[in-house]
Amino acid sequence: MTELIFKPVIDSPLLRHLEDAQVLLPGQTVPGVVIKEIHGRSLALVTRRQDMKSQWGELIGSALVTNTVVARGARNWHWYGPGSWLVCASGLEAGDLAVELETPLGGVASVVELSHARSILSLSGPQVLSALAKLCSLDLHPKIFVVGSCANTTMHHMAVHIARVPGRDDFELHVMRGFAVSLCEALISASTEYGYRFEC
Amino acid sequence: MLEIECPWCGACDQSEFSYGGEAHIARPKTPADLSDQEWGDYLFNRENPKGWHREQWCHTAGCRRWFNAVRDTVTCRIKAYYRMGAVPPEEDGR
Repeated sequence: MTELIFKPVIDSPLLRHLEDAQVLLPGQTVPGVVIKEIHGRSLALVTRRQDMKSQWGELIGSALVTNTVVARGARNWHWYGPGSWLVCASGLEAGDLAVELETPLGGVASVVELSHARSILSLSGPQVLSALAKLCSLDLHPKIFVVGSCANTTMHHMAVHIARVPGRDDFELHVMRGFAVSLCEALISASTEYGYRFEC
Repeated sequence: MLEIECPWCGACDQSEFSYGGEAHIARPKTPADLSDQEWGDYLFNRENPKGWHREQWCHTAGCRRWFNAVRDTVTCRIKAYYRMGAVPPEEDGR
């Protein structure tokens, strides 16, 4: 078992800059868009080595396909590019996910701990598609971007990974933590006309 | 805006892509042997055709992969996509 030299400290950049808020329209009881930060998520980027395709197939199988989130046990594997996946888990100590993946995959793929590098937001509510349509050029209609879809895209010129994780009815947005406040401000601005609640 | 068909991710808006200019320009193996004219040609001079143009694109905001496309510079219609290093579609008889 390899051990990380240092353990990343996972904190939220949003907590330092933004406060929880709710803006409702006259007569509205349920906000049109709910933006919540997801805390305590571990992330690791797994990139298959170029000459290890057959060894990878033996270890992982071929179930991981383009633009799809696949649940393997308690871990969600998000497609992140050809030969590249973002693995997400909850309830682990910082850094433990990378160590867990490194053990079987070492030599076949490179594993990079990213828990401290991304902020993760959950978007839901009856008007979430209208708000996202202002920022995202992808077709997010539930018949096209079905549950289990994911994609790398841009919102407000920021690189964003968007996913509909199996078993959840929200949209999950991953953004580099340095852009998290900007993205939240853009989302809040797009959601204001529908009424919103923001929690970090 | 163009809708570009990334060979890995499918159709996405042009805003997710970076343009890489004309395709199939190989760096000379021995630059020191070239005349200024030849080196200048390699660096700056491009076909700039009116019509079909083989060019490089990168899906910067998506899968971060480079690929080639054949685009009409008049209508912007793209008729073919092929991988880096692959033979252009017109030349393999397709």
